[in-house]
Amino acid sequence: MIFKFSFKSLKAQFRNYLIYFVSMTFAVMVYYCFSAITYNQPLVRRAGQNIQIARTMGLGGILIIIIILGFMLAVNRFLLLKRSKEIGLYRLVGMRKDQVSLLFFAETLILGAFSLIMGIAFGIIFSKLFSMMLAKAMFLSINSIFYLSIPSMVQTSIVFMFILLVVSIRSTWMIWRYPLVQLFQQSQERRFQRNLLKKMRILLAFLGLFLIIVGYLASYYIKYIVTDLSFNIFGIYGILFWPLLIFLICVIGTYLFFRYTLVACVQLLARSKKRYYKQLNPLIFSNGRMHILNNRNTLANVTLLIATALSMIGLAASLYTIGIHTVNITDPTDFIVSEANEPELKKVIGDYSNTSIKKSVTLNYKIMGSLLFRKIGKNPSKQYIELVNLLSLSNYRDYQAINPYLKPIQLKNDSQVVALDSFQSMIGGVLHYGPSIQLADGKKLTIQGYQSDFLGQENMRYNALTLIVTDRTFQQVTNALAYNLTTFNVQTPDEDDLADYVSSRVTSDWQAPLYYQYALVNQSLNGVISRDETLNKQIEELPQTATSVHGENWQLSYSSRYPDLRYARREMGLYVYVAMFVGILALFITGSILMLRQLFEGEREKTDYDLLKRMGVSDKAITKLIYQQNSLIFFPPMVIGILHASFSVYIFSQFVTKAGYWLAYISCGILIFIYILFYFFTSALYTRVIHNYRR
Amino acid sequence: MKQIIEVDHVSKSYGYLSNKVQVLNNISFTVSQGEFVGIMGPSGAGKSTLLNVLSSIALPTAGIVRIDGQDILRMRDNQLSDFRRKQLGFIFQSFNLIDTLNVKDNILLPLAVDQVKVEEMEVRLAQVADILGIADILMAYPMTISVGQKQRVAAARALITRPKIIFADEPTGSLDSRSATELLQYMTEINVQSDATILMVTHDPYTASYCNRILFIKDGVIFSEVVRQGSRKEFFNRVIDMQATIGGGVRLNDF
Repeated sequence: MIFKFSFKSLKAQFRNYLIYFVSMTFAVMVYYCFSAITYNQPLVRRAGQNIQIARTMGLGGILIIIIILGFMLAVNRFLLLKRSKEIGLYRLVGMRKDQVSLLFFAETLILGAFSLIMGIAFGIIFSKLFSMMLAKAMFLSINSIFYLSIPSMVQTSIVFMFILLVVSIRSTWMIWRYPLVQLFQQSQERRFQRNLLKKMRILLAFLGLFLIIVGYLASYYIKYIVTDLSFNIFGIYGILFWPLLIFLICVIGTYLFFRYTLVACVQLLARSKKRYYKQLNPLIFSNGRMHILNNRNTLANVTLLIATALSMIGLAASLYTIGIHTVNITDPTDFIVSEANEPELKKVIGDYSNTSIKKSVTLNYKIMGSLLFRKIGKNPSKQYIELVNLLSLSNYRDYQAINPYLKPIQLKNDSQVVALDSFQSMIGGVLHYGPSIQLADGKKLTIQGYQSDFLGQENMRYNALTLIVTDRTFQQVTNALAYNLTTFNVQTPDEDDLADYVSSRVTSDWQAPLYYQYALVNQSLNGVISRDETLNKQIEELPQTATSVHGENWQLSYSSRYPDLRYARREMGLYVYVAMFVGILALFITGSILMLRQLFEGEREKTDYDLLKRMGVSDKAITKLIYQQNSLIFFPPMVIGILHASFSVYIFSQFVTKAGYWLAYISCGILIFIYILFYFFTSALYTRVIHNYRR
Repeated sequence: MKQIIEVDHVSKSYGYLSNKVQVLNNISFTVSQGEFVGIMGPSGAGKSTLLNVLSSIALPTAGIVRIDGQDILRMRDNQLSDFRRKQLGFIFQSFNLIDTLNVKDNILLPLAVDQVKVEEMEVRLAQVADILGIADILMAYPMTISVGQKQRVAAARALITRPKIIFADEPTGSLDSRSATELLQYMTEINVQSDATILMVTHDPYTASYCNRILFIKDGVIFSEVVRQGSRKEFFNRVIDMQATIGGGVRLNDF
């Protein structure tokens, strides 16, 4: 009998339930799409060649469940508050609490079952779209068909049942707590409390603004703070410590801002009597203040969620570009090969069908010991005895013809050199070399500048710093070991297949060891470098000190661009996809929670608007008032969220110079678009609620 | 004396066909400027509907309503809004104060909407606050004052625009008897001092006894009219009699 009753009441309140139904369907759809991709066999099989797609997707899935759960709880709460009178009436006619709970539980179950079916149906349609997007992000060529994933349907159902259970437990808890007397009282919730003294409130308002500004300033000068101000205290861990501290400061600042500062701003604006008593301004100010006070925690949470989502997308985007950038650094051309392996590799590639080697360049290196100065940040520079590679300028210019990443270099005279350092290309401006460098043959050179190292795989150059020197200097150098690397691009119809073909026939291993021993005596560097193993035996016993250095280095046999590129694209593409999916979902959900809050307020404020109408305020003015009030709720979180996110992206960009942040900017654009959409949609609905009330 | 409200053969019905309810049925009457008119009748007689029609909140199905010589049915929506704002004041049973505004701002809201200068506002506020005895609670919020005070604030808000007509819908309905008496005395004072016409719907004979004239409505038509002559006590007794007549339909006929 109760269930029949429940079904009738469901039919009667169709409009209220529609919102609930739509949001549940949306939640199911989103989760199904995400889970379908995890189980989407062709996609996983192809990507699974070198990465764990499921692990990243699993993490994303958990984040999505958390977001959806929060959303469902919020929606359910509004619905319960709206129906609190109904609950009271059921109790009044003598239904027991457990019966009322059962009634609501049954409703949730019926609605849940329907929206599960609808959501999965929509999910099947949309998952095709999303898996196409993922394939695009990972540069996979897959002709995806409509794929009905039974395991993901099961998983979606289980997750959704779990969410419904949590929601039902919460509503049962609310029903249990519901005091019957509330039915006969006007809602008192609208009164806002002001526990703190006025002075304290003003102080906290300033503190909120101050903390946010301090956070922003600190992020603006983050590089200076980490490298110069505090490097002696925290060392390299400052890179972790300071952003974390700034994050904390901004979180506290945001809460204080929405609790006190925003209200204080509204009050400050209301101080001018001329501005205050102008048309409906008294209402805008007072209702605005009340909305902000009632929603202060929601607003702060929404702002932080927006900022986190945008920063996450920014981080994923920068990881993506770093991934691709790293590939460009290690493999600027399709292949780099050592002297010993060159004939074999070229033969294997030549044997592959339809494939030809384009222009190939041989790089002549000389490697030798050197005395150089290096400093990190503003610390005093220290001297090091290290191996360096030398490459002649003309050879470098030959290489430029097939390597697009090399920048033009001009050397002023024979003693000037340019250092190419791989560290420079990732984190700029932290590491400095210092102005002079002494080679093992006694030659003194001056470093006129340093650049990112795009010469390719450092392991093939014995992991040493490379100096570009003039041809004459290169020829004059003695006491060095010479070796060649050959680098070339290929033309092939299927890079993917060629890479697999080559790697199965030519193994990449360590080879051609060299041994060295250098010592600093009377400020001049002496020592030997050789491939002779007997040297190794001699030097093995020597002690390692700051002025005497020895060791052995090995070389990688060859390096191929495509496998690295493929790996980077898949892994980073997956990160970007998951970050975008979760981030944009979060933006949508925050927008709809704000919308529901406003519409709920609208129902309660009907009488106020009715009064205005009687007082002779035109419909147009009332509509304008509604739009103005909603803008106070939607725009502060949006603006502050974007500001937070742009400063956090600024922090990344300070340390990771080469990363691209276009995806973060696009996401900000998407956020603005979504919020403006929600703003207009909410205001339009709100206006309808208000104007419908009157006959 | 000038006729401020003229109601000419006004009818109002809700619903369609078999569901149709005739709330007002061919009602005609006039109100002169400065009168304090009561409208009485049993529940569902159409009192509130009549008030809504007169105050242009609801449109009649047929008939003409003229206020101060203007036909309000011929006005456009914006004109109606302006007209209501400038000419009419409202007092409701549930006060309808805005909780988020303090007493002063609640009272000043209609003037703010009308773009009155701040100095002028202060002058008018002082006047009405003085008349209604609420000068000392101006900075309080509606939640913190008594019901009697709330209704006086609502009256002040209705009065501050210096309306030609004040519509009061059960103004004493939520008040205890002391507050009700106070309010009615204030309303009488307003009626006398500022020459405002008051139209008040009530079903309480004591409240009605403060009027000059009472229209009795039953089933959508004017059943009778009682004009005050002599003392308020005498008037009160006549109102009671009339109510009994409407209620039971016997007392007059019996004799």
